[in-house]
Amino acid sequence: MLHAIYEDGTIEWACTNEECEFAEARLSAHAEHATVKYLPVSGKRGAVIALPQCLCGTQTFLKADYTRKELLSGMFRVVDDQGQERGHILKLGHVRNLLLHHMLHLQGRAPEPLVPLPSRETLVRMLENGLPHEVALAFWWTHVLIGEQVVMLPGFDSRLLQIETRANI
Amino acid sequence: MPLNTVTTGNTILAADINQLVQVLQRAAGQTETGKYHLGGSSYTNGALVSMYMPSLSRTTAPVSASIDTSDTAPSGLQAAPSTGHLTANGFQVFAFGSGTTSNCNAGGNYTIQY
Repeated sequence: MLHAIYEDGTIEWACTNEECEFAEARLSAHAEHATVKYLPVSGKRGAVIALPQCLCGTQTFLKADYTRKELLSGMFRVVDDQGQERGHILKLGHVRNLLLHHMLHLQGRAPEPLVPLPSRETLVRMLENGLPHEVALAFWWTHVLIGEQVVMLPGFDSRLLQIETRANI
Repeated sequence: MPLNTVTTGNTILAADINQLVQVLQRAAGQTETGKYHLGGSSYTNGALVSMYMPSLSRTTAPVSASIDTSDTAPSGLQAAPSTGHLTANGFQVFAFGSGTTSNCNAGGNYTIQY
């Protein structure tokens, strides 16, 4: 998995081969480099993002074909000291995969990911509040996924929400 | 990492059961490791040689999969294998034949990160 994505586009990960002489070191590449590749496979799903091979031959492939269900299952429940559930947040491993996928999409080298990036104003506002960019995106994508999940509950007619909204205006 | 066994007469702790649960349902930050071997034949250059590697862990969506060819260097294949279709149930390992050959092989370690 990716350990970091920096603002200049540098990505870092570690070799998973315990016997690799570089196992303790961080591997790095730039998101615009040709060795960071989006690999579509046969069928509608199954795509991955291939990272450059380590010198020992180990190669890491990042998941790039998320479904809404997989992202919803990839969330932490945040609880307070009393054990009360305070909310959910998407795990950073998935956040970094989505961010790199967006970076490749903006370069024209990958299709659009499942969940959109926030608007520039929204992202700037979150960053101005002191949130690291990965945490800000984790909050944003959690909001996007859970917000849509609420509307998609069985038996909930979204037209009722629109009627109620118009009545309140 | 080896699992702990419970001795008859000792209390079974939550940690004893949870170590089994975590094998079948990896938590974020955990990894599953194992071996794979891709074998097949290629009827023409570029023919697909593929296998599906089921994971022990279920329900948890993985973040990444890493493979190497430390056990069997690629033979009869255009390049080292790649992975795809990474899901909570496993992943695909595939490569393309480098011609008409009856013996395409590659094998090594895999690591799934959750």
